[in-house]
Amino acid sequence: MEKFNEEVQEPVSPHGQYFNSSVICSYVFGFLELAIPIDDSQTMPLLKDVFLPINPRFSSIMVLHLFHTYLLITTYFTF
Amino acid sequence: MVYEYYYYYYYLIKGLINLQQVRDKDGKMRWQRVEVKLEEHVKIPKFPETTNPSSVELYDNYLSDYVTSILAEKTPQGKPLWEIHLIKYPTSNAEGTLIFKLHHALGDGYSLMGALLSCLQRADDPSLPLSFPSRPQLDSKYAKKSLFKKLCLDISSFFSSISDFGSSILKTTMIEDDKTPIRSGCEGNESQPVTLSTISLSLDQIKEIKSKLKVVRFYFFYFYIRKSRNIMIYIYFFEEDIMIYINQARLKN
Repeated sequence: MEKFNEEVQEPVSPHGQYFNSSVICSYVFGFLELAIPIDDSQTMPLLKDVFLPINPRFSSIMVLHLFHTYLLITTYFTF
Repeated sequence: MVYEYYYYYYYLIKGLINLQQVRDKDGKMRWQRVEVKLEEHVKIPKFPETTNPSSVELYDNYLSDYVTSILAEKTPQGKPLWEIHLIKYPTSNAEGTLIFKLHHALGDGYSLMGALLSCLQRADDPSLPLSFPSRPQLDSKYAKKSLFKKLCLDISSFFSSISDFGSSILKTTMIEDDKTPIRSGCEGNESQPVTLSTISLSLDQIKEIKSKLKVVRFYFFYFYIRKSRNIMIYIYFFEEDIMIYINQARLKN
């Protein structure tokens, strides 16, 4: 089931499409100012274990789908 | 399908699962999971080393220039739409600065801020998650009012909504906004370079403004052009607790 969920591609919301169109490209910035120097040995494991699991979109790209895949379950009754 | 004649005395249920591709009328954007190469998303800029005692100010300038450059830059296509910049140089505000650059399509500022806060732990008790202050009930005062007063309020808000709607239609179609210190009225601002600026306000000052204006929440949008640079700052205020975030958006041709 988990594998199936991963394969189902969530459509991008209209706002999301608008923010990544040829007219506008908009980003949100977050600044964290730290009182101690950055120790970047922890960066990669933290990103992998903490940041990426927050939302599947952090590990997704936007793709244009011209084809839509339907799951069809057909049952034939034969006598 | 052709079936053999001698199968007639019993039936056969045959299920088939087909994956069928159908062309959409117009293409739709979808999120597709990809393998993330983390090292491509973490940027650690190198500023020139200095031994000067006033290097903090120097690094302030380097940081400001670096922020200006990443504000305008578009993240590469074909990769997840986020970047993290680690500035490992001391500035006048901090020993190190961590910059998250996230595409607006990933979420709005409020939800992305929630996501970032969920990465952090509280210094006083690491077992507790760092969370937003809970949003207070806005209608608590409304609920205490009598039925007649509620009716009057509803009717007045109905008419003010109609007048707001009408004025917004007029403003978007016929009337142009006035030129003010925060609106230059120049054409082609979108293609100008962008810089980020921060302001610090004391919470008491904001609460004072809030109580004088009698608002429960206000949305502050600041768009300032000086020396061909655009700044956009959004600040959100809530009933009890105040949350400020600075959100930068750049219009692209």
